Amino acid sequence: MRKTAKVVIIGAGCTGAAAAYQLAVKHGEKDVVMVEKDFLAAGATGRCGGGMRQQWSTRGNIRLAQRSISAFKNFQDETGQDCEFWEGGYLLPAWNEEMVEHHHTNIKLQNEENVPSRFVTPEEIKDIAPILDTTRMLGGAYCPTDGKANPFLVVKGWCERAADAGVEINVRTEVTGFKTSGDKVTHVETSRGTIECECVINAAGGHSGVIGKMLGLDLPVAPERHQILVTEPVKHCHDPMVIDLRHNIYFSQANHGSFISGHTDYGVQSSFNIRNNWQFPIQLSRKLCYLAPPLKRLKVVRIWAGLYTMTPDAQPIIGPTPEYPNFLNAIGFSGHGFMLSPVTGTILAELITQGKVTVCPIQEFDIRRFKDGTAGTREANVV
Amino acid sequence: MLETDVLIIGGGPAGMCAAIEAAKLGVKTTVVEDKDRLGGQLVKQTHQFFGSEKHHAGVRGIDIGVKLAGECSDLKVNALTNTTCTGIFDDGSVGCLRGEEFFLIHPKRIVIATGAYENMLPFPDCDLPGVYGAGGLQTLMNVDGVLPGKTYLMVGAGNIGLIVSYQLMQAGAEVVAIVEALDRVGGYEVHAAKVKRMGVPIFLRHTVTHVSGDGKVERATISKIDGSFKPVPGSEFTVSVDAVCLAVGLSPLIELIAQAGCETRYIPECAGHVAVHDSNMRTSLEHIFVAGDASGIEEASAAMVEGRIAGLHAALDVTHGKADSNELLREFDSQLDELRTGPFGQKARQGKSKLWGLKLPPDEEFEEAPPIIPESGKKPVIECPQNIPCNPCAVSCPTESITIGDNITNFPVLDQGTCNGCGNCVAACPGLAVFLVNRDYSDREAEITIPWELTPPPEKGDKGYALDRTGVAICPATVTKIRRVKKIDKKRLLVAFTVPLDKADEARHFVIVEPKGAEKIETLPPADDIIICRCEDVTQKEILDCFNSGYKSFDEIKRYLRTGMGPCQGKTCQRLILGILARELKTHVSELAPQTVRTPMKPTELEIYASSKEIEPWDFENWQPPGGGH
Ligand SMILES: Cc1cc2nc3c(=O)[nH]c(=O)nc-3n(C[C@H](O)[C@H](O)[C@H](O)COP(=O)(O)OP(=O)(O)OC[C@H]3O[C@@H](n4cnc5c(N)ncnc54)[C@H](O)[C@@H]3O)c2cc1C
Ligand SMILES: Cc1cc2nc3c(=O)[nH]c(=O)nc-3n(C[C@H](O)[C@H](O)[C@H](O)COP(=O)(O)OP(=O)(O)OC[C@H]3O[C@@H](n4cnc5c(N)ncnc54)[C@H](O)[C@@H]3O)c2cc1C
Ligand code: SF4
Ligand code: SF4
Repeated sequence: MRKTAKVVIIGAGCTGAAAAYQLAVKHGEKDVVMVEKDFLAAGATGRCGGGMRQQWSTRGNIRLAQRSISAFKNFQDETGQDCEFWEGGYLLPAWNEEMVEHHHTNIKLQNEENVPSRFVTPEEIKDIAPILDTTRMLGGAYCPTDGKANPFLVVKGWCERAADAGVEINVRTEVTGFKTSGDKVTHVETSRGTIECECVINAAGGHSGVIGKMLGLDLPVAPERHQILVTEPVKHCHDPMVIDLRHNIYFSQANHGSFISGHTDYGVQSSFNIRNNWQFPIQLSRKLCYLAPPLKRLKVVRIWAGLYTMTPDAQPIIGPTPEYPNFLNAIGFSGHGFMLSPVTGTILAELITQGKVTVCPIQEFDIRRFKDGTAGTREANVV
Repeated sequence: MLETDVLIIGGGPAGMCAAIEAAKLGVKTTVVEDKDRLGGQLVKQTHQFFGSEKHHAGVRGIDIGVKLAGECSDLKVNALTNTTCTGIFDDGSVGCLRGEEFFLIHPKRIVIATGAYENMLPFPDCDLPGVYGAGGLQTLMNVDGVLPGKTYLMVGAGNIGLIVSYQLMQAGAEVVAIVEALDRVGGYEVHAAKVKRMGVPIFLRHTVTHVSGDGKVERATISKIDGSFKPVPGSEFTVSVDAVCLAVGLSPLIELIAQAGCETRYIPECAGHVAVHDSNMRTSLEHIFVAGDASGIEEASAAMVEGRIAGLHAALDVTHGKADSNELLREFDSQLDELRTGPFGQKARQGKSKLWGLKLPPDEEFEEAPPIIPESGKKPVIECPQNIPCNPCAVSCPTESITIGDNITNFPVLDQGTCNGCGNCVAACPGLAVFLVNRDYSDREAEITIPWELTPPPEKGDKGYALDRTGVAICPATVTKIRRVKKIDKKRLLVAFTVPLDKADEARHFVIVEPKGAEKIETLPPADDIIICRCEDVTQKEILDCFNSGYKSFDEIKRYLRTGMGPCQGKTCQRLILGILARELKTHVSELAPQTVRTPMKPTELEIYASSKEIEPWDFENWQPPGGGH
């Protein structure tokens, strides 16, 4: 393992991988070392649903997602790796007037940002997703250019290209502490040695708060268990990712035919626990059977869980830490960090190589927003 | 939700014995068993078991199962058959799937006695129909009454391979050969002798390299292997078979143990990853015990005693030690010690010593018993040359002419003076290793009495051939008598036949038609890749490619290739992939992380979960988020 590097990236999830790729391949900064305690995509990235959508309720999220989706679209051309990108759309049903209203407001905002989302009638929903029982739906928000990709293949593609460009990727290497001098982080200590560096990126996902603690920082992030299940594969019969905000559930059909579905646990408390409980499959199956009755006889083959890293406004924290300006966070993605990862990588690379960000405004993601009261409204479209 | 004091998962010999001991202490005891009846592996064991009387030696496995199940029901054990435990959760509840119902059991203590699963051997076209695991084949043959092929190649000369070969012949099939990768027969010599004298050759240091056929197995190619288990070029030959049976070992089934969060360790002598447990069979989680093959592969006899120990401790926890069971526990411990003596108990002895941090006991060499060859009269010849844990010959003898002594692995010793030639020992020996030889039958002929379990049996007066110990026809023979010793074994026949006097020490089997050996046929080239994960159709090449692009652990390969993500949850492929990884990384499997196991153990329909009564029904019409949240 190298003893010095300009940039040390902690964590090889989609965020760390995107940063490594953007730095080395797109921004010419090849003096980068990545440290990962397990293996590539071992954290939330490898456990996530892989969905990406532009249908958000805040302008910040919309913009990030939009730019990221075009990056995923071009993924194979750029990296040579097929990431199974699939433009199946996202459908968010509305069950009452209040939700209809909510969707209309969001669609307006999204359309202002050139996202082709629109309100669809129950009849249109039947066409888009024939397996849904639309009897009680009043319609829904639909965006045909939303979609999904395979998170493993995304991380693989980025890491392989980054490694080709000279990034050293160290798996099974755990960050254990730091050395500082004044307001500078000077060294990263790992289970396999110490690396002297000019700049550190904290992309440790659910464990990013733990990394912060090593520097005495109290980062406003809370890990939260999210359970998810997968069924046996069946012939392709369903295009969009369905996000039902009323019943708290999302589901889609994966490339190989399995249905993948999850929700937010009722009464979830912050913890590192990623074991499953018995309530989850019962609760989730009830909702799935209600929404999409033809799936009833499908068998659940696996249940697992991963950590969402939540922030108080459900929006990420990206950028330098006031206490240590050369310690950059890319954390708190609150359950949608996969779809934001391409642009997150660009923001980080621009910050490090140019000192300023041109790709999109980033004030919304400044960690200081929670202290100085400039935090905006909470993102409402999270499941 | 069903409340119980002690829950036993798995109703094999270990589970049933755990239930019996727990119920004897008066605690509420429940057994869940995946199959439609209690018994586990015993259900398909139509042969007589070894061991001592305490462990039902000489009784057929299936009958032991019935007896233990009867005891369970007498003790009011709540036996839930057709019920699969699919997960153990952190709040202490256990998820079960029974028909169309998903429900929970809430036990105070759990004993996991889920037994073992069969190892697969990967080779080109090993996924062709006609390649069977020995256990699966036994179930077809002995439980379902189906014989799926007529000519077999058996792979593996451990006890299971030898016993199943014999059972195949009992069912009327032909076993063309047994191949064994090691340089010795791993199973008991008495089991090997039984098939050898029926004409089945055992090829040591040989393996099956590939099979071929049009949509099903039609031929199998066998090759010699070198010291590093690689085929020796030019040594291969092909036989015509319609089935290949793999008896290449069992691995402890620990998916529930791992999913529950018990600490596990790879112990080669236990045949795989096992729960770390103490000598009370308690795992690293206080409320969970383990017993039987799930805690390390041994025999049913050891499984039963381990079950008793686990069940008793689980019940003592519940009664807070309100029963004096010390004497009983000491007795169980000494039974286990006894079963684990001798060269055949070596592995278990060493495996458990590793787990318990004890000094490793020294290797014991096999001793060969001298053959006992009586000179005159009608006397038994005992061809039982190894220190196996067994004594029915001695127990069945009315005149106490055969003695084994206190140590069950001692050789049987015959006192010719007191023996009356009754033949009880011939009827009782589960190894079919005792014969009566009467040299005084006539001037020129000796009469040989052999145990007979094949159909159809010969009839008195039948003329045929006597075969020697290797299955070669050596002389003509005539059947003189057929009888049963009902009080010893209702099914087994004793067949007596005459041979020329000078063949008395060689003739050990009788046939009407002279056997012809298997013919060698043309060898076809093997397919160029090998399926490793059958559920997801992943080949060895794909795994190696994945490895070479930097994904070097089971969980990584699983994420990229989906190996182990199918319905079997990696039961078949995990062992093989860890083996490939260990080879490529030049390390040992014990150094590698096994896969993460997740609920459900058995694929469960969405609707079954949805209709579970464990959560009050929901009213979607007037939707209120459960618990008020979200
Ligand atoms: C069930 C579930 C479903 C989801 N569905 C979606 C979805 O459909 N769409 C979407 O966009 N997002 C989804 N998400 C969220 C998304 O997965 C995450 O936001 C995203 O993967 C975060 O990526 P990351 O790289 O920041 O963190 P992670 O992927 O968690 O990576 C962090 C890495 O840091 C490593 N690490 C931690 N501590 C240390 C240390 N001390 N030293 C070295 N390495 C360390 C970890 O091992 C890990 O590999 C979902 C999340 C879950 C749990
Ligand atoms: C061919 C052959 C010959 C043998 N001959 C002998 C012999 O001569 N003498 C001898 O002593 N031993 C012999 N054995 C070994 C003996 O059969 C086993 O050691 C013994 O059965 C192990 O007992 P067990 O209770 O641990 O497991 P098993 O008998 O395998 O029982 C485990 C039970 O658990 C159930 N189960 C598993 N998972 C679940 C779940 N999730 N939920 C509910 N139920 C579950 C299974 O259905 C099974 O019924 C032989 C074995 C074989 C295969
Ligand atoms: S033949 Fe009868 S008496 Fe003689 S040893 Fe056998 S059982 Fe005993
Ligand atoms: S001769 Fe005796 S000890 Fe040997 S196998 Fe037969 S019964 Fe067992």
